[in-house]
Amino acid sequence: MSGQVVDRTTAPGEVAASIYDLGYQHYAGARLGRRAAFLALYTESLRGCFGLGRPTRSKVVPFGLLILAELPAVIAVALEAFLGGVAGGRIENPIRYDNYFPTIVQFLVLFVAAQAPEMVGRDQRYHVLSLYFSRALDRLDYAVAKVVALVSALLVLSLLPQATIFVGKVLGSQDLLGAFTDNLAAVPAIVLSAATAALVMASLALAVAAFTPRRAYATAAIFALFYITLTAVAIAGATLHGDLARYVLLVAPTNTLEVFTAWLFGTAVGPELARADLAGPDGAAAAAAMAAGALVVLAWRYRGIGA
Amino acid sequence: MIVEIARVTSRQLLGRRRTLLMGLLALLPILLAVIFRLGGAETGSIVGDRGFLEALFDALLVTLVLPLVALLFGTAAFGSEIEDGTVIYLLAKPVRRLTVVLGKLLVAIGATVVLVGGSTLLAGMIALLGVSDGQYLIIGYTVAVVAGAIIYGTVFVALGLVTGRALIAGLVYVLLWEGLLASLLPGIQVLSIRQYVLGIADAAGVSGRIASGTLPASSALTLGAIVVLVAVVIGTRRLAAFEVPQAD
Repeated sequence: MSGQVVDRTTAPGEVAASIYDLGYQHYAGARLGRRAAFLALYTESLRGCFGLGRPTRSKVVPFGLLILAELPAVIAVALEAFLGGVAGGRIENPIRYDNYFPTIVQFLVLFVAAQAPEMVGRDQRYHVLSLYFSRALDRLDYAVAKVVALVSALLVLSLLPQATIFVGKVLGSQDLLGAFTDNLAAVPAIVLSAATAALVMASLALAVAAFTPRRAYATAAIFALFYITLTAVAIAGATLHGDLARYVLLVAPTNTLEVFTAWLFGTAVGPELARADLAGPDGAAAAAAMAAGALVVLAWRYRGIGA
Repeated sequence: MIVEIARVTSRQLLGRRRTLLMGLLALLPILLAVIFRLGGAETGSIVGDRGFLEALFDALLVTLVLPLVALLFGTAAFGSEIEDGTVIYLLAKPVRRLTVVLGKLLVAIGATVVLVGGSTLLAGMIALLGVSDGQYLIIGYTVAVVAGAIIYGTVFVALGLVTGRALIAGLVYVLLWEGLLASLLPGIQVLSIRQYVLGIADAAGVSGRIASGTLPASSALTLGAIVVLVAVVIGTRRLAAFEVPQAD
């Protein structure tokens, strides 16, 4: 169609100016608006988190970690069958709902360290944020969509194994309905702890990742945030005295989440944390403070970022 | 020529915001040592402070700060050139690949030695000055950290040439292989740089005061030297057959 000469102004035989019709057209379809833009960004970010729609090498890390996170649950189900049958239920299964978070927390940290920079780094590196912000999408919408997407991805990682254990426990018992209602009691704690952990880890990781377009450094910084603080507060806790020595442990995000999770399930934390004797509400408050702080930093970053 | 490459590399690696992150990492052990000294803990004997010193040197410096700083500098040595596309100019010059690799190594290792070695030395002096036999610990761990910077640095520089996602691969190695798997499967200790570092620390003056169950010094040194040589050879060969990646 392009390049075709259309003469609209003159009568036959007359020579006059003409206009090239290049075939440009206005968009005539429905304008879906902000909500659809948000949903699209959310869906694409979540898919990108697992490397869906990207080459195979982008899928290796997320799916590898998903398998690693799922592995203890598979072992737990196998053990459940073994302990129920051969050992006659005398030995408690070492992998349970309540200690599943501490079991896989390393994989969750690696996941956010690898995928949070993937999520927000490229848009900054290739200067395409202006393309997002020139649309119906608000700056905050962008940040919120990224957080929600990473939270969803983490929920997949932490809830899928729990669901595996759940199904294993129910199917492994003689009394299906009884086992179902028994295990149903643990579901609120499972969901709430997984959601809190996902929110805290996702917002912290994205708050760090949003500050550099270089994904490698964001990854290292997130890793340092989760692991170096864990070791540093353990050392500080052993050195300091009094209440300060106890509360300094809550500076490390994974400690906070472990305390909170143990409180939800009404179980004991690991030996190192148990010595500090931290109350569950303290863990909840620290987790809330971390998530809120990280989200404020993230919002501030995207308010002022040069698109 | 090696000096020129080192000069260009040091300008690429240092003096950016990321150096700040590594400065913070190196400051942390010193800060903890100050807290320890001010905390009024019993500083008369090494035995009394065993928990703190072991945590500071073994758990923090050797296990986390050293590999992480070496990983950041090491993978950035070639990684930032590949990412920016400037590696073409480096490859177009008539310089032996080995020289290029050695120049990069010099800077990556040197920066790690200055940051982490300095941090170890300072933290050790703050925590242990005036303690009998304390100087052996300081010397032992500083020597080990320097040796560790060489081994880790070489491996991670080579890793930056082998894969585009060297940082993730290195993190997985440090966290999963050396951290989780080595504690579950003791056989992995022979294949873990962390154990070489502890073995060297043991030989260089720590000798049973802190670290326990390390490799014998001779095998730690031999294995470390083999790892360094293999990494240099692999890095040079990869650079010789280097294909400029497409921008993703």
